[in-house]
Amino acid sequence: MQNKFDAIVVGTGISGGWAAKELTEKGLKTLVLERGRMINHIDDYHTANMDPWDFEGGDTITQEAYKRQPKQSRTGYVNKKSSRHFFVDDLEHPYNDDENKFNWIRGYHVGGRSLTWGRHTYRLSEFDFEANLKDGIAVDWPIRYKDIAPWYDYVEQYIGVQGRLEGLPQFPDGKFLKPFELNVLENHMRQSISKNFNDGRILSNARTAHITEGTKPGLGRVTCQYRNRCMRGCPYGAYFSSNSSTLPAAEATGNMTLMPNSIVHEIIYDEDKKIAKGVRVIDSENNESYEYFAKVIFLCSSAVASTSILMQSKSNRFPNGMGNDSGELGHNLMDHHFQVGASGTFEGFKNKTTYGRKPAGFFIPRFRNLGGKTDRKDFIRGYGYQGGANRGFMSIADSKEELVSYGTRLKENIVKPDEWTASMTAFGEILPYHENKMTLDYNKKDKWGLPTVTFDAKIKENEFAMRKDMKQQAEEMLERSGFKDIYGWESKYVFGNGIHEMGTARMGHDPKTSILNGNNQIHDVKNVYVTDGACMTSAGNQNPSITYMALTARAAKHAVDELNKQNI
Amino acid sequence: MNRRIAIKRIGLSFGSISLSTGVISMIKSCQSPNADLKFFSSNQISFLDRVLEIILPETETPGALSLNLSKFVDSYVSENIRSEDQKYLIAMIDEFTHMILKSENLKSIDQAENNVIEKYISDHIDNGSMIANDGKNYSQICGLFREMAVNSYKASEYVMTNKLGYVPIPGYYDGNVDV
Repeated sequence: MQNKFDAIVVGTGISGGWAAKELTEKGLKTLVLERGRMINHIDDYHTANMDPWDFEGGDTITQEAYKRQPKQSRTGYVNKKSSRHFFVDDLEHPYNDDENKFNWIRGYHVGGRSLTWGRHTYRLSEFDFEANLKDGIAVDWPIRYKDIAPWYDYVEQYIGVQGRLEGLPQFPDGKFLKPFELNVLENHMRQSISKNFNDGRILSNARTAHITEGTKPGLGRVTCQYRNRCMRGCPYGAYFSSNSSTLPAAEATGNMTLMPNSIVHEIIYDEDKKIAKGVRVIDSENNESYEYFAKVIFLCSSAVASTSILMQSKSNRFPNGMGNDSGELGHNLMDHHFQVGASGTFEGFKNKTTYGRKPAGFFIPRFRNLGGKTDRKDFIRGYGYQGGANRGFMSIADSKEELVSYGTRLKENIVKPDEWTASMTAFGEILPYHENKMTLDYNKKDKWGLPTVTFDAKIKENEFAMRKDMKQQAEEMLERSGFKDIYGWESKYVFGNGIHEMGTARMGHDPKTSILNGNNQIHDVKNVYVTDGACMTSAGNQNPSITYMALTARAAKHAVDELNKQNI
Repeated sequence: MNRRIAIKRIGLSFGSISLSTGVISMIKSCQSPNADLKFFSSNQISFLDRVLEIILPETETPGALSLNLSKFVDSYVSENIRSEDQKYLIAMIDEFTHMILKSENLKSIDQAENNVIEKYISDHIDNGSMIANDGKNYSQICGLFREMAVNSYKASEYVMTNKLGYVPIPGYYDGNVDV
């Protein structure tokens, strides 16, 4: 097989798919390498059309799944029968988190986590890009909102994002399709929250990467059918995934060579030319090693995996890992802390219910530390809430109140509509602490002889103080919206459980304190771009995927311009 | 670990399911009863069938037996309950049946009429202070039987589509529908 290309893209998830599309559409012959197996859009979504009763014994995490996927199981939801095949076997893909528990939730297959992502799509704002500089922590982002805004526009229009325009600076509007409507109780909450709080907070429609009107480019992508089975892969292509959208676009150019089962473990450095010249790959099926060469390399294999590859890319020039002049490679690991919020019961709207299963509810954007009366003394940065309101059916407990223990009346009761309930959980920013890190353990190798990742990260005072407020405000908003039986909860957050790993190869102005520059290039290896979560300088509180897409498209344009100018 | 914890864990995990057994599989299995049991013995399943039917009886709509809820319970217990909890579950069911046999002076639970079994369920369910002839209380296992019945009922195709308004492909969303 040919081993020379114009570009190599490592990874096929959210970022890799975008790199593949942009580079091939600009005419570059591009090799796209994926460590996992092939997943074809629709054909390989074998659970997508299964109804609940088609799962014998329920759609559950089975004891067998707990055995093979002990770490993926910690989430409590990703590896139910309906989506288990999209998450790794932990025994085959081990990592180390003995010091501090870390949930590294992964999917090794073409499309990666773009198939199973939460699909919430929120832009970072100027508050986020300025945050480190203003607070005097970590390093400053080398870009500002204006640098990325046109790229947000570009990717949103391509993938299809539904949402409601709100005109808030901390919650920048985008190019949205019509929103999933709020239901009758969510609308009531929207009005109550605006009326009863004077700090500018709002409840808006969740913004997600679903098509709600018309079509989008890709493999027959059409409007959402409100089945809420997104995590199994969508036969309608209604939510964005690499498999339905960017990879077919890349394929259509004729410039893409896609190779699954190819584990990239090293970028080859050319000591003479002082650039990267290619990658080393192990075929995951037959263990053979290969080398492929290209003028430019896009590392898009997810934060932890990309940094792991850089760490393994040792040379005379970079004895501590490619681009690691600063010693920051692997540090500043971030996620979003969550699993804190509140739920409650609403006694009104007894004559109302809903039809259809919309795959997203509401979002309450950040309302803390935005200046003036929103500023807090106990923590910096902020958080947002994801939530929803629903009307379900009576439970055994409801029936008990009527002293019906069993029999005909119990049978009648349990299919009666229950009260409305609403629930919200907060997602908060984790600061970029130098001490939160990943390293490689060369004593513990995987079945391909590659070192395993060791995590050592935890949240600290700022996050703990924020969590108190997250719980309290959730309770208060429900209370002031007229809810009863309000229950605030906080479970122990395990690092990584947000499945938003970020940092470890951060962007910055200075090679002495960062790995990447403002164009996502390694400072001193200009033909290597890292555009996944590894590049994040701070985390914001927003679900990060749309930012990776925008940064990847922006970096691809930069790379092609630089190639044309023969700068790289 | 004790039985109280085991039963709580089984109950909790039953409470977390949202899914179901099918009418088609029910018809199939009615033709060849208990042919594909995964966990329970056919004796245990026939007792379970009667208990579940007492909790959710046939009325003008299908009950536990017609919906073959025990098949769902069998699969569920087989796939989702830890092996040590499975043992406790069997032990608790056995204790409950032995208590009935002893109190009624019967040799086999098949000989117990449905109204006899119902009497014991009625005495113990939701009644933590009831003490049987053997000095024990059976509110927990009876509560678990109900948990199994209700969750598998709500997860069945018949109930989901006819009683709970489940539509496989809704096509649109309306957040303000009159009941």
